[in-house]
Amino acid sequence: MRRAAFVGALVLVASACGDDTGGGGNEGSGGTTGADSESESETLTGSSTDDPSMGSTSTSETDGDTEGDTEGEAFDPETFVLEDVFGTPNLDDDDSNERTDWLEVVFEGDDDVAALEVPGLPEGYTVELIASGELDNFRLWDGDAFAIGVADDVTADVYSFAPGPEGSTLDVEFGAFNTQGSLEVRLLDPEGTELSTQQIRMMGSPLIMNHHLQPSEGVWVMDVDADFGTNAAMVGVFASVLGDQFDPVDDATYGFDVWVQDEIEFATSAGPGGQRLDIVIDSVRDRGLDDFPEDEFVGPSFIASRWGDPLLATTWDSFGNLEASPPVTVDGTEYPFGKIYYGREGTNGLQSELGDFLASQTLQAPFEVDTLWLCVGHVDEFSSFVPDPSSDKGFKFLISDVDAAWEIIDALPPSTPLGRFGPDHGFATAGDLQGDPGLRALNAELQADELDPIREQFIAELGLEESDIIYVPSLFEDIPGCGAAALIPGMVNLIVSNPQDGPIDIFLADPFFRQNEGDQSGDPMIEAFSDALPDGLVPHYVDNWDVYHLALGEVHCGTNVLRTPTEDWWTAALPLLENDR
Amino acid sequence: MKSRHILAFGTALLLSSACDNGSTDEPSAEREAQVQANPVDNATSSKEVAFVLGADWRVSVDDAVAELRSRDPELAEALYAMEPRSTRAGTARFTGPLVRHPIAAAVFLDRLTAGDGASSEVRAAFVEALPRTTGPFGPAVTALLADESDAGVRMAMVASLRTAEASSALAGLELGLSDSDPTVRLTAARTTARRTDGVELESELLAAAADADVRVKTQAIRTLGVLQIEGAKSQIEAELSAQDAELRLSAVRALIRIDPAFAKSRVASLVADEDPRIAKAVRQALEG
Repeated sequence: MRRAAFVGALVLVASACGDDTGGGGNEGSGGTTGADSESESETLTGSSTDDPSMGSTSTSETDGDTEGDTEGEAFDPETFVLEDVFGTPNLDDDDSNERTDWLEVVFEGDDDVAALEVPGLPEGYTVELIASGELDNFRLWDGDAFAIGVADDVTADVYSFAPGPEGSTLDVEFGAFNTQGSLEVRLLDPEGTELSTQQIRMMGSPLIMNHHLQPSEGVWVMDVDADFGTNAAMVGVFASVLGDQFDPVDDATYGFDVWVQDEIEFATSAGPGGQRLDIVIDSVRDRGLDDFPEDEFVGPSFIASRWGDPLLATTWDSFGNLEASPPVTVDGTEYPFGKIYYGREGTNGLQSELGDFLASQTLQAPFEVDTLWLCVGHVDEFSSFVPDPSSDKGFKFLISDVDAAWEIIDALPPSTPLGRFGPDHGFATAGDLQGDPGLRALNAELQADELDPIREQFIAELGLEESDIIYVPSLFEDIPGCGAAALIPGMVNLIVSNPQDGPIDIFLADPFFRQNEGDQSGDPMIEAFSDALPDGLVPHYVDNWDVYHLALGEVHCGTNVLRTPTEDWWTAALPLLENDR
Repeated sequence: MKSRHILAFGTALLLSSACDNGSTDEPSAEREAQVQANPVDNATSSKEVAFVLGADWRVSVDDAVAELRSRDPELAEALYAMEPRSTRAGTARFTGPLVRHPIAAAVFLDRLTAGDGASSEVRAAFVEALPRTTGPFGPAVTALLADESDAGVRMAMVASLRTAEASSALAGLELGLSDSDPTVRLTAARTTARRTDGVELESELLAAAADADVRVKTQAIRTLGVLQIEGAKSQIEAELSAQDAELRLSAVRALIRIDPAFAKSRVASLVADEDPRIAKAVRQALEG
């Protein structure tokens, strides 16, 4: 172990700071506390600011050079400039000892530690660091010595040291997402006279949900072969198209819970030193796949955290009901990580504990969408995004549209047989659909009362234009006592596989809107969807009928995708974070 | 023979726990064996076991089940062992190729009436699956509807009648429209809108349009509109001033569907209704 004993180091520094309090258990911030904890730091003596939005400008209090450089040259305090520190929260378990690294003394191999580089100073010169902000969620180490932060119930918010001619590097840890703090850096000459003071940011990465434009790294699908159906054909398509990027999971291991989209949501946090922490937001739905994130993902640089109460879990707490748009600019404000959206209306929807946490991460400015009209009630039942490399925005927004479906259906001869729709939905022919006034009325009402307002909401929230939208032919049916669900297998409920420098593959439900199941070329729904897709995207229409569609879900519901973080929040999104404070 | 799925609705956690302790290789071996023995593979030949409802549905079911047990015991065992799965919404539902077989209707009706302590949710799932079996079920469901004590099961029964043959379906929907439970009445009204022969239930729908439960009333008015029942216009018009916005909206849309010209003159005053859906519907009607 690289450090001295944690408590011992703390007592040493606390004494130096004029506080001899020590001991007590370390119940510091764990992986699920997020950014909701408030700083409990003491009032800083001599601290000039509580404003974390300061820049890292230096304010010299001397007029000229100062004697004292070890090499005999004059020392200019103006050259003593420290950089802001950005990092990932140290919430994983890099040494696999089943203890969150934030709760341990920093050790060799802990790759979630940032650095505060302190330039060299002539002998006798000292630096005083005065911390403010969320002091319980960031911590500095000077070699083996605990310098600043909270541990063992003690707050150390001032630290003095002499970096010497070689300078020194202080290790910095963050204990929660979207931690914001600052250091006032005072440069003192050998007589203790202040030569300069500057403010630097101490910022821990927000949790950032992935969106469909980020390169994919892996795709997970439950491999199902049961009396309620098999998805062998679907799994076969994924395997042949994606190869090593595809990871089927035996469904029997997880109690035949096929809804892998609903159990987990991937997110990331990153730092400029190449740090990357992947996060599984673990749903409180806790069905068969409850152990999946721990079994499959959790380990060094990968954590699972959850927000909310399993005892209060509803269908809206599944993560087909939690998505993020691609990067957008809305009314002049750039959202380089897109915006989060989820289903909630009034008090019904995604639990507020998670919603509030996501809002506290600031960058992806979540908005709520009404999904109460649906039986399942998830945003992925009617909306999605696909890359569009040739467009200015880089994406297209997809939304279910019943008029687009009726246009196709009404153009078909009434005698057109519809294969699977006969036994499973009671529509043997196109004429059966055309002649069902109740179905037509239901869908007209859903379009007018739900889908049209939702489309307008997305346009407003994401700054979309009409040319950004693809209308996906969709029909809904009524599930008695529950709400609406896809009648035509929901093509909008898709996933995007787009590995770095690889093809863009779209996997979605085969609508089976035809008699000859083996001939997709004769399917008017497939033709319409394929024609609407941007150039360069390769659609794969897979058979998800028994395992997903008839159980009120589609391809997106039964899959999940891990993605690479692509933007640096500490450069691309700093204004969003600063404006929030 | 052991069926593979078998994950009874409500026992998922039990099975999951059991699997957590086992090797991940085991399911693969188990799968291979079970796939080979999958009764679905044999379903084609057993389609010869016919299921036709005669005058006494119970006798027909018993006969069909007996014949199935005799001619295809493997399929019979699989159908009797089958349990519903959990949908994405968390509700119970039967899916899969075993369901899509006419003889499954006989088995599900037999299991529905077995009195074996199956939960209401599972019994409702049997009913929900009946139309998807492609087997006959209407007369049986309508006969059972009157004596079924569980409102959730009755709701599923009424909903299943959307695709049932006309005589039993209309008889069942008539029962449903006068059911003691408002959710059943509502479902009956909603299901009636899905049948063009629902117009034959005009008087029952008009009665439902005066239901004490506003949700039933709203749905019945909607159905009268969808089925374009002329005789309902005056009753519907009276609801244009209803306090409940859903009811007002339903009345506006119903009048527009039945008689657009008549509706224009009656709904114009609602063009500035506080409910944007109503205002939009009226605006579109006036423009059309």
